[in-house]
Amino acid sequence: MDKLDQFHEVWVGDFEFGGFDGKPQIRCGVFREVRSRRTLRLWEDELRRLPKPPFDIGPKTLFVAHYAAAELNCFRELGWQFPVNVLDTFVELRRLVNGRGRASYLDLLAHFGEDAISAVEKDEMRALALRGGAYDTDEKRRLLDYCERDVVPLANVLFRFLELMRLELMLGLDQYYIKAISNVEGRGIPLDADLVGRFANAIEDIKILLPREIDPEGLVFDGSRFVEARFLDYVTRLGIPWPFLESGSPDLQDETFRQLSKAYPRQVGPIHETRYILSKLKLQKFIVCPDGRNRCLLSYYGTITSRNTPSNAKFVFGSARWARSFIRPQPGWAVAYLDWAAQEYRIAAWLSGDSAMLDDCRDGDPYMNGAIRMGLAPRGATKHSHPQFRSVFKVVALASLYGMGPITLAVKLGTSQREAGNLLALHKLVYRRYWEWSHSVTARAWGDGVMRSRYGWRFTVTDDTKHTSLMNWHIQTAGAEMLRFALSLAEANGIRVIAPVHDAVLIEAPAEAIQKQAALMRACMELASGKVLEGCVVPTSQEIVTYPDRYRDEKDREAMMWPRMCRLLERVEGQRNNGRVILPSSGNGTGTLMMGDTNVIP
Amino acid sequence: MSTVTSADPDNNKTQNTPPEKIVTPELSAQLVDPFANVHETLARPIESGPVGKTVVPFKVPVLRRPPKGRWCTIHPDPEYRMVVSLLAFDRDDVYLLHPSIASDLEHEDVHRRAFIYLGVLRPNCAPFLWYVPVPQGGERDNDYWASARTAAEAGMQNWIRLISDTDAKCYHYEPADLHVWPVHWPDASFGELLRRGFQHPGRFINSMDHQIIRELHGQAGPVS
Repeated sequence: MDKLDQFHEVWVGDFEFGGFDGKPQIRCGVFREVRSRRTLRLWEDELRRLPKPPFDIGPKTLFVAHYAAAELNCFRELGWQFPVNVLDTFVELRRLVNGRGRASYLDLLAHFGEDAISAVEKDEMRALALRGGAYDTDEKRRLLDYCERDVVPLANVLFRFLELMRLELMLGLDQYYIKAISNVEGRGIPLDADLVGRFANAIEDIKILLPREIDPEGLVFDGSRFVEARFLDYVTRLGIPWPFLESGSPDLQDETFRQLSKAYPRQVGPIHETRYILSKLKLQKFIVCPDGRNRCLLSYYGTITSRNTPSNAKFVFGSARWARSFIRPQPGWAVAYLDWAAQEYRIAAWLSGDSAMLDDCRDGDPYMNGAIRMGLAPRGATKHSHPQFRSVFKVVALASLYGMGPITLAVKLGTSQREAGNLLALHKLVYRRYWEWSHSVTARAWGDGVMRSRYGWRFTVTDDTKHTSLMNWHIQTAGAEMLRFALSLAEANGIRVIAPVHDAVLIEAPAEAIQKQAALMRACMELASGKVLEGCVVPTSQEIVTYPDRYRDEKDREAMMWPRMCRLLERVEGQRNNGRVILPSSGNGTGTLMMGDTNVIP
Repeated sequence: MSTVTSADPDNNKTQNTPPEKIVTPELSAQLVDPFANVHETLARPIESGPVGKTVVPFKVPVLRRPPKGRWCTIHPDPEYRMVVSLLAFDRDDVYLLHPSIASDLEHEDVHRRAFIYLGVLRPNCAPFLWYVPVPQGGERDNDYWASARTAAEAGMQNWIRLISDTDAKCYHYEPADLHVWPVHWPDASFGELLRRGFQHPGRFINSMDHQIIRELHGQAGPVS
């Protein structure tokens, strides 16, 4: 009980709810004080009558929940303030079992030998909670019983679990991020909801027209069908070194297409995006709330490096790049996309202490400096004068962080394996200290069986752990910690963050205030980087979009899918209105796909 | 109804700025920072990871070499190594031959004499059997085999990692001079471990009527 002595009361709580992620439709809540075992069971109408929680939420009380952001979403929905002290047992379990187990509520109970409701019964109760509508007396009692059965075992295991926790990390650090994420989920991202709806209604017809739009001469597609033989002819004619599998077949996996889209955005990008749209895009899964905002669970601490793992189907930043153009500030408002510059590279430089890498990061563009240092570009070259060499160095540098070998690097660069191998060998020579650090860190991890970050995240190394996961772990985890600090600082300073995106943040503000808010957010990001890298500050850049403009993804500017999709939408809607069949546009006879028409309809 | 043409996406009036550090003392003073002393109070390592346990494994992998990057140590007791006869169709497709039939198969191309060592791998002291070929019938030794045997000997004194040198066509080994991790050997005899490495997965041949021998000699059909 020592760790809890500082608290007069410890309350474990759980809500049952339906509705959209971030905007819960509350059914009921059960709360239990751990020492006195006093239990409160409240249905929705009783909860809504309360102006504040039915227990103290001041500094002398601890509120405990499993995946606490979901419960805090309910607090917000009820108009309640957040508790001062929050302990999230999901985060603590993730910290404990990261690398060797799952962290659901049932896993938590199993870990401590507590009986749990069966999965079948759990599904049944979840379905009842999601159903909505009127609930009779028996249904209310069953849901409240189910909710209580979630709360009581958690209260029972808490003391044993506490022995394994570093409570000061949760209270001094993580709880700020959990509260910040709850607010971010609640705010959502402003979308052009009407346009999303129009695309969702038309997407099946667009899928029929799209291949003909980008490939009117049938160089790759036969109708909607991707033809492997035609594709091989196409890439061969363009001199693109496409990788093959051991079987002799071309490697047509998504990841390969993704890599080569980056190397050849205009030639391969549209084909990749089209294949994705034809096979995977489901706009109907986008959650657009009645207020026109995209909301979904951001799933914090989801990866082994503690990054968020929102659903790709539900989160606008998880979907196809062109779909990010659905993001549009509401009238009178603006959004700002703020990102750290070369974050991973700078983290690697600082963690390893490699003087050459640190020098690259000191002034100007680290990737351009590195390209010059490795002799890929002449002294004095800039990202404008020699963009291709900067791009090559960036790929090689990041490949080194990830432990990539020459075969995969060759695919990414669109070059030969020999050339890729030479570049990696040269990198090892120039950045010797980084490679020594990487070697020693991974060697130690294999021996100790665990990796630990500066701020308490850990990863258990097992026989199934991939060596490349270890090489990258510290860098990715430091990046995740940086983002958590940045969001927590943003909340403390009243900045409206609406999306965390790996090494970037999207905020919104009234148009007249966006410059100031962007500057404040960048200050938070710089401060966050200093906390993770002991004073070393990572610079940031910003992109501001003001209504009525819409957000454009940088890579989609090259692939040009957004204007293409807009044109198809107009064609489909025109066809439906006029009842006429629209013939696809004819080719331009050049033997290439239709890239970036000059008469793009905005 | 919003129009697709409401704004030219490529003429967006976005305001981009290049990367730069922008914090000034004035801006810094404005910031509320709930983590002001976090370096001193929170940034430190936490409890160490799982400790290896002594177990009797159900299966023991038989490997041509320890997995790349993994630390291993080799049992120093001579009772836990021996020279055996194998049929090695591929590096991972090996069969142990009973001594009574080994001499009948020495002429086969896939026959190999090999040292078998017992080793354990970090981080969990997972046991494995490491086979290293030895020259047979006047055959010349090669650098891969000789260097592997040298590494195995070194592994009896220390934790090592094996590193392949494809240019020199041999192995080097890296000793873990700075780190001493505890060793937990499986609680079983070498014979039992050989059984779990070969017999349990059906890779022990003690009769010339064995399916593998019949296939090797081109005899049709399985043994009824």
